[in-house]
Amino acid sequence: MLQQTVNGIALGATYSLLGLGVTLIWGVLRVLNFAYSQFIVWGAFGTLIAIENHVPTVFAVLIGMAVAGVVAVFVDMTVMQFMRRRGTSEFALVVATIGVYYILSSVAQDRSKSQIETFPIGGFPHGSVDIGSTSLPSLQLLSLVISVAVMIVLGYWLNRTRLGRATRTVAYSAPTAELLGVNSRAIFALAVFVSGCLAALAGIFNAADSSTLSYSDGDQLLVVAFAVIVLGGMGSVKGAVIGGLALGLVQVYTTLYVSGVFSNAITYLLIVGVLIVRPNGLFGVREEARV
Amino acid sequence: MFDWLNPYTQLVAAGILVNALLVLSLFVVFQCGVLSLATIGFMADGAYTSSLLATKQHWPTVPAIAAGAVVAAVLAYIFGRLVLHLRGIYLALGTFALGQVFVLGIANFTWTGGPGGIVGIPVDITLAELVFVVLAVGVVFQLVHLSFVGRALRAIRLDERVAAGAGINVARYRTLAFTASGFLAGLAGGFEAFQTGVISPDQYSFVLLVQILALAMIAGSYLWAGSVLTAIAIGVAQQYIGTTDALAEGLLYGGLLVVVMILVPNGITDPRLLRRLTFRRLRPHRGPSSPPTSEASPSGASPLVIK
Repeated sequence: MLQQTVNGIALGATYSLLGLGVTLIWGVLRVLNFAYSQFIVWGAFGTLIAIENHVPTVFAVLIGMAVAGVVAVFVDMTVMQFMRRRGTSEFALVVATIGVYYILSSVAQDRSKSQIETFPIGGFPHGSVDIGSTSLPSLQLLSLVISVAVMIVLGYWLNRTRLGRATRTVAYSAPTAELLGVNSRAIFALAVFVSGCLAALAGIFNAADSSTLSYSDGDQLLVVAFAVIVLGGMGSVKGAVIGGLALGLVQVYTTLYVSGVFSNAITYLLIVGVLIVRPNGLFGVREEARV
Repeated sequence: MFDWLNPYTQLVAAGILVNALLVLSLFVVFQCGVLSLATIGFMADGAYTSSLLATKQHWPTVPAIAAGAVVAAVLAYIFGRLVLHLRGIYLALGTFALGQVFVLGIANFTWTGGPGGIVGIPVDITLAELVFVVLAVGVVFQLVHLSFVGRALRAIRLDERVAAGAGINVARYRTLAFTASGFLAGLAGGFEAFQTGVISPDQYSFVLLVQILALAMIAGSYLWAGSVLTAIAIGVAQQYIGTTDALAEGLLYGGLLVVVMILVPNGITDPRLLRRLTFRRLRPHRGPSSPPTSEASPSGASPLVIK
């Protein structure tokens, strides 16, 4: 039981990273980004290719994060920026991200010839660490530590720094922020880059955990990310962290007490259930509709 | 009726018509402003219901497919009532999750054949029957388009509050459209199952949803015929290009989706676009001060017609 709780928290920490990435894009840009699933995959592939070219693992992870960040910014600067300028509807934006998703996914699929590739985990920590009566694989411990560190940095950035204040202002209202002298396009790019990096980090941990990498890995994780932000409330940083941990625990307990095959279905059921009962999530602020 | 076509062409044509039914199932909800991503889930429901009835209970093909469509419609009605009060992105997310719950449920129960799916479904749907069904659906769509119901649905898409103010029961019409969407998706699923003889949960994938969504978005949410013609045109074009490669298919559909969303976010049957293409010179010059009409009147009359 205690062991399972620890496992759930470790799993949940990765989920929180995913949720933070999506919530950042949603909070700042008001876009539900399906292409996020491919930022996860491209980040992991970036790391894979770097490791294959004998780059030390730490740098390979950074390269993967940079790759995903740059892809995310590129997509945003081309497709999204263009559509925002033309004032297209929310609908069209979501559908365009689905199109981008499909393009990126087919490129990744082509690279790996539709096969599942082995992800070299030699450079990642292995073995497990005993904490009291429970033991935790060191890889999961590492991902837990990094996730918590990222959350702290992100929280500090958004709440305590000038740049973070600017980001929140842009999220609240981009035209007002512009009037106050904030470069909203730079802030958009920054938020998107950071969210791509977070996606890559989650994707890399996921690949290292299973030591395999497939072009379709992102799909499952995207749903997880959606579930996290639905649970925590769209655009809420605190909600993404708690939502991620809650989802990790729910999945682990479902596997333990019900059945392993339902741990995926439970994610979708949670999305539907929470949306029906509390459409703004557990920590979301009620949105007022403008008529 | 179509014996002069070789079997391969018949198979391809049947696949294109199944796609047309799926695109119509998206169209029917798009026309009242609901972005539903649950279609693939309902397709799986219809396919599995009809296949299980045919293989386990030995139902004849036609009642089995009809039963599949009805079951999908009933599920759409029940769950539609639950999720349809959501708005915008939340609705898209809710329907997406809903569709996936169905597919995952099917993949994880044993009585549905699990991940292995169902084999040995009788392959006895002819192309002629499928053509007949698509035509019949088209006739119904045209009648609805011309009726009060069609106008009400389009009014809801243009402005929900104004529609409600005009006495249209928004919730009831949206539920109706969602149920019809489930029915059509179930029908498409049933036909697909009895065309290929084998189904498995993997085939109701996100990629299929993206392809259907691309077709529906290109076609737009104004004319049902646009949906059918788009499905046929792109299906035929794909045969001639010969894209069996996943990369080419991804670039084609993904690229089309992005380009269409950038250039014509309302699809190619957008009344404004059509009018611009056909009546540009006939239209009286509008001064810069008069606001542009945002959409055509529901009857589709051009601005020249004076009533």
